[in-house]
Amino acid sequence: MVGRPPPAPHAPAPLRVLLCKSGLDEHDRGVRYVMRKLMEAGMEVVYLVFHDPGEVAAAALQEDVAVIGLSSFVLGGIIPDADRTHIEDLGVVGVFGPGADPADIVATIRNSAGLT
Amino acid sequence: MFDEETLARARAAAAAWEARLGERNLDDAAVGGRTASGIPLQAVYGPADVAGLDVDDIGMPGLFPFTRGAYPLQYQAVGWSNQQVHGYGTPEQTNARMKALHGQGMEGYGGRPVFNLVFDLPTQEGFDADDPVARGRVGQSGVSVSTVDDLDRLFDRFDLDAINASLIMADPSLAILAMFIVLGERRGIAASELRGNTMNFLYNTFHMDRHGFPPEAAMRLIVELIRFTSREMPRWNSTNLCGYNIRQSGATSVQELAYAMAVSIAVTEACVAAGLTPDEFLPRFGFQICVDSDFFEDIAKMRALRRMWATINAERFGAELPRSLQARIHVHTSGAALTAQQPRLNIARAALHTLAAVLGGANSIQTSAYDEALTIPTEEAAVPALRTQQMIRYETGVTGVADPLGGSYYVEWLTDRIVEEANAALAELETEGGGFMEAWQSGWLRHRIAQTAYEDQERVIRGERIVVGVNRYRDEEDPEVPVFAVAPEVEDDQVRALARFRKRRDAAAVSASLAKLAAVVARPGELMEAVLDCFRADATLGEVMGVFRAAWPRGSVY
Repeated sequence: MVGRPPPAPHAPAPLRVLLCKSGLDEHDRGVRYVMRKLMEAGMEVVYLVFHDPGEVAAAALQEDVAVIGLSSFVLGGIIPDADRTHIEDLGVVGVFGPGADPADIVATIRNSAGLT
Repeated sequence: MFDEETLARARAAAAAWEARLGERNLDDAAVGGRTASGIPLQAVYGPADVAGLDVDDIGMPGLFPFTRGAYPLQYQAVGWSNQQVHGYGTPEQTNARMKALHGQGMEGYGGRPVFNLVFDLPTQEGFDADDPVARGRVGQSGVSVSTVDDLDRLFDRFDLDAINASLIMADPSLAILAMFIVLGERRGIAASELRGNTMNFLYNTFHMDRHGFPPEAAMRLIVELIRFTSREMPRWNSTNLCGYNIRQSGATSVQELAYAMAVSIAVTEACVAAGLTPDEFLPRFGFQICVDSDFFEDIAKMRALRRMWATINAERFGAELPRSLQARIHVHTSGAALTAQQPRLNIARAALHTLAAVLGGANSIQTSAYDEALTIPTEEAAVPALRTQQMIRYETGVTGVADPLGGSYYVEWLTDRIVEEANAALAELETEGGGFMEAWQSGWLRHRIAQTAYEDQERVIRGERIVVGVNRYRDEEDPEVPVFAVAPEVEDDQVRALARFRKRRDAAAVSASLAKLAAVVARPGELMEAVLDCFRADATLGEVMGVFRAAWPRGSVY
């Protein structure tokens, strides 16, 4: 699923984001909401329901995305504080739990892609 | 409902009331409002608002159209079942939680032990604990079960003919039922003696982004399970018409009701097309409904549901048995309504949800634990959730009268209005959406629900829908509560147990049984016996589901 807002004249190429969640997991309300907010912020979103984590890497390369967002019921969505630090240590730029402001998610993605 | 003279006096009282308002007139923004589904409300309701209702649509509890309850005496005869969801880690660990909750008084109809068991994600999707896709997920959000031996450990010390077992999973419904039957055979208990239910909600890909079977194949498997249980397992509840998950996906209460009803209609039509008669299988359908934070709308929804189901089954399908017409409702208090912020407030939230469920006439209830917004409940949180049900049942006195809200001008008006709205949503699905099967395939339903989910979240972000502790009365720092964690060795333990299981079985017998299953997988009437033979030969859940996956490749529906 790809959502493309109409490009503004002379606008830079929109930021491409891959949003994914596991096909084992049915909790999709959050990731769908984030998808829509990113599209409203002018980003192009590729949405992947994956089986094997390798599919995420393959899709990221194939779709030439700048950012990968991952929603996982077990890992996150609801991420215990203790795990949050560990995930950030692994190099994940932002971890967003319940009550996260979508504006923060958009800002974090823009920052991490070098757009401020 | 009233004679002209009574109505005239009621209207005069309403006019006097309006005059009494003075400056604070009915145009004031704070007056009236809307239900969570967006139904506009008046400031107050009176006789004139229900005068047009047909008294036959309200009726009496236990009588058609069952608006006021499935049974004549409701809780004065049988208490609701304490259907608390539980399950994590190894079968032994969940068995310990089952024993603990049973020891705390968790019981089903007539005091029978009841277990509403949730499985981990790999099990729910039909993958064994040693499958690569299961890595990191074994036992994490439910109990891990790959074999009949696992199931035996799960039900250790419980007599299968003395309990009620609810097995929460979608696509492997047929397989987990077969495993449970084979466990019964090993213990000398016939399938006809088993009580409990399978979810059989393979249809839920119409509103969930998970990998599932294509709609036609999913419906075929749903019907196959119903065919088997309706003929061989008279005490088994085959199918969960799950409004709860629809609402949790972001649908409104009106959509939840309309789409759960659409599922019921589609499954009934498929069963009839397969040669079953409605009175054979409808008595063993049940609804699972979400009670969220609009107290009266959720109560009215349950009353509306019973009336709609009775009417549809009688008028569309010619069902005649009372048990085919009286909807039994399991309420799951809303998980999405719980907040990770100030989590102990969830005890109060879930208590209000549970009270609404009881006032709406639920037949079984799952009350969420306060820490479920964070993780699997600790035992320290699971017990107060059960106690909430026990307090409402034994302390409040609300069970002493059947349908205590019956006759409330507001509740009766709202019940009728929800029936009207849900019928309109159902009609829209059947015309604009092309009917349930078409709307499932096309994503029409998925997109409608995603839209209302989005609008609801926007209302929370803008502060239009108030959530205490989230967008009003926030704390700088949320208090720490104990968080449950599944022991990391669970995955290794389950993988090792599975390796031992594979080693000692007769590999040739397993292969033969799976080959036979593959040959009949698309043949109605022969399928269930072949699945049973696989588990009798010690095939694993993943191997059996592998045959189904080979026949019907799974993926996202959209």
